[in-house]
Amino acid sequence: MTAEDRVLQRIATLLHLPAGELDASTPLTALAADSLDLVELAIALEEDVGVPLRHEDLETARTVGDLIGAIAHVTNGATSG
Amino acid sequence: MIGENERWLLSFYRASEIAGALFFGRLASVLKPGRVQVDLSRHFADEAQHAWYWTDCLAQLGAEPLRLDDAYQRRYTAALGVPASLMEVLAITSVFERRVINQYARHARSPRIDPAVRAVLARIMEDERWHIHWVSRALRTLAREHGKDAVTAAVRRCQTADREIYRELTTEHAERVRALFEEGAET
Repeated sequence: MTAEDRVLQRIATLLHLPAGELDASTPLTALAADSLDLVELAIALEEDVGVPLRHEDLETARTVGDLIGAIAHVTNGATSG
Repeated sequence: MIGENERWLLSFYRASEIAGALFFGRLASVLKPGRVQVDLSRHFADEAQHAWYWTDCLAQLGAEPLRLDDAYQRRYTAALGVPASLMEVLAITSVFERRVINQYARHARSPRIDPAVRAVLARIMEDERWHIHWVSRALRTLAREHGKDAVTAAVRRCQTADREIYRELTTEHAERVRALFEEGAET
């Protein structure tokens, strides 16, 4: 399973959606009904990957793919820094 | 029986406590086992309890809670954006909890306050002191990961936003504030 698949699965589990309904192009607005949904998602992902997301990455994320990119951003930073 | 301004204020407190409970409940459900999970779960339970105190207090005073869409915390997201990390959530919480305790202390000093309201304020302020304590401790721990400067900067951003939110809110509801805190409670 790729890192992308893991994130997709985690998001699907959190939001009680079938994993097949999500892909990188899914807009976050279709998943997160309000800002609280997005906060919950961010904290859950932080707990999973062990590194917090960057505020600016979450602020500009529009799709699930952006979120996957944001995670890659911090995890690569954590391993290289 | 209480006046409409006081009914609104107690309902606003209740709505904010409900918003806090729902928010912390959701976060508590996704946190891994550990100290923060335990403390945040207790915090969630406190907020839910506080919402009940205000609901019960309003009933004792012969009033029903108003249904309000506004809650103080919701204004933080508009001002600061969506918090992206536990550290940012706790930075907002530390500032918000101080705002709550200051507001409740101010209310407790207001003239002709009903003893039932004063008793609830005192009970809640006791819990709020613990909230500030655990959040401060957690932020000190998170400073090891994020850096002390990043935590300090996040708290300062929240303090600036909070001052503006409080100013806006008291301006929007200037009539109520004047009636309750400057000229004494309604009769």
